[in-house]
Amino acid sequence: MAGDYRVVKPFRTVSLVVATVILSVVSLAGCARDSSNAAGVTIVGGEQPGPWKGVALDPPTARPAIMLTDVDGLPFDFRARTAGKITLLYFGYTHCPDICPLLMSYIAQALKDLPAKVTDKVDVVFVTVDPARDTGPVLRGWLNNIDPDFIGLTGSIEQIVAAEKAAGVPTSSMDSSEPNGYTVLHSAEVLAFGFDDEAHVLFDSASTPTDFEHDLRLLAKGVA
Amino acid sequence: MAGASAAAGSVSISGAYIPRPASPDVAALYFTVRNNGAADVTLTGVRTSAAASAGFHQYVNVSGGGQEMAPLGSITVPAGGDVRLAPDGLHVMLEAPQALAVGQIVPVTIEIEHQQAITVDVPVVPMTGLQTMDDMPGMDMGG
Repeated sequence: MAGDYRVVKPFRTVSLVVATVILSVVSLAGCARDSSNAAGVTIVGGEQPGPWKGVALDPPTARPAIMLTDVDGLPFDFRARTAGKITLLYFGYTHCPDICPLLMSYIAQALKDLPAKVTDKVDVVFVTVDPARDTGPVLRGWLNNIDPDFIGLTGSIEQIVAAEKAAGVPTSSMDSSEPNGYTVLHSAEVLAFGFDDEAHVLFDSASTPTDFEHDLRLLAKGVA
Repeated sequence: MAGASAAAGSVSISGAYIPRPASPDVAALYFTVRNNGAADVTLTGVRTSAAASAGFHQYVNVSGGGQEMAPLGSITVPAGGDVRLAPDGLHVMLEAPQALAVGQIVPVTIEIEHQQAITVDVPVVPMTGLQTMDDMPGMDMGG
């Protein structure tokens, strides 16, 4: 109905069969979606071998070196500013009615149920893939409706596409037939970077607040 | 938290809810529609005084691979079957909604072919939507 998932959610029933699945990029939310996986990530289905409730990333994705702009219009060096912290990174847009507010609110709920010693180590970064409509004030207002501590980033569409590529998520495409010159594309995937500056786990539209809470606890203990 | 229900003839709506939106410009409406009749039934639209416009949306494949969100003119519910509108799948997008706070009840009319309609009093729920026991923090059911 809604297409295939890019990543296979670990099966909840006991299974002795472990299948290796080659990811094909899918993104179910938002607008257009690329079909090729820039990251070439392989994940293992069946019995989840790692400790995560989210989806294990093997190989992990390195904390990307991306330059974007904060809601006040100031440069934001993502790698430098989030280095050494647990960082949840999501590419979305504020006119997304369903999956963007849902996933971000799941994160907010998980953080509310975690102690300060965990949440103090966590940054949540939302990068808009719709910079024409998501100006700094629009982005800040939208995030404030979810969690005022969430960081909002924007940039030129070229910078945002470069950031998506660096993070290994599906990229928007330039399209002159679109009103703002680009298709609004996002992956509905939250990458979780740990203290080692690698993302060993991601969350998707099948993830629940409990999944986020569980894995954030592990990340805060330095599990990788 | 259960979501609202209503029925007309062989068609019934259950689990209807609107998550509190984060944007002032768009909101989402979800529900499950069941057709207990012997013939397929087509939902032809949605209207509510709580939004300037409301329309079904789906995700469709685009050439070159991938999917994009697109308006969907109607939804056909097979005889004896049901269709579920849920996040990351079929949904209703409400455009330019009125201010929606958790606890508000929003009357929504789901239009059905042959000038039929069902009106549901839809609750505005938290942004996290309707959650099962499995999803509640501290209540991990061992999944």
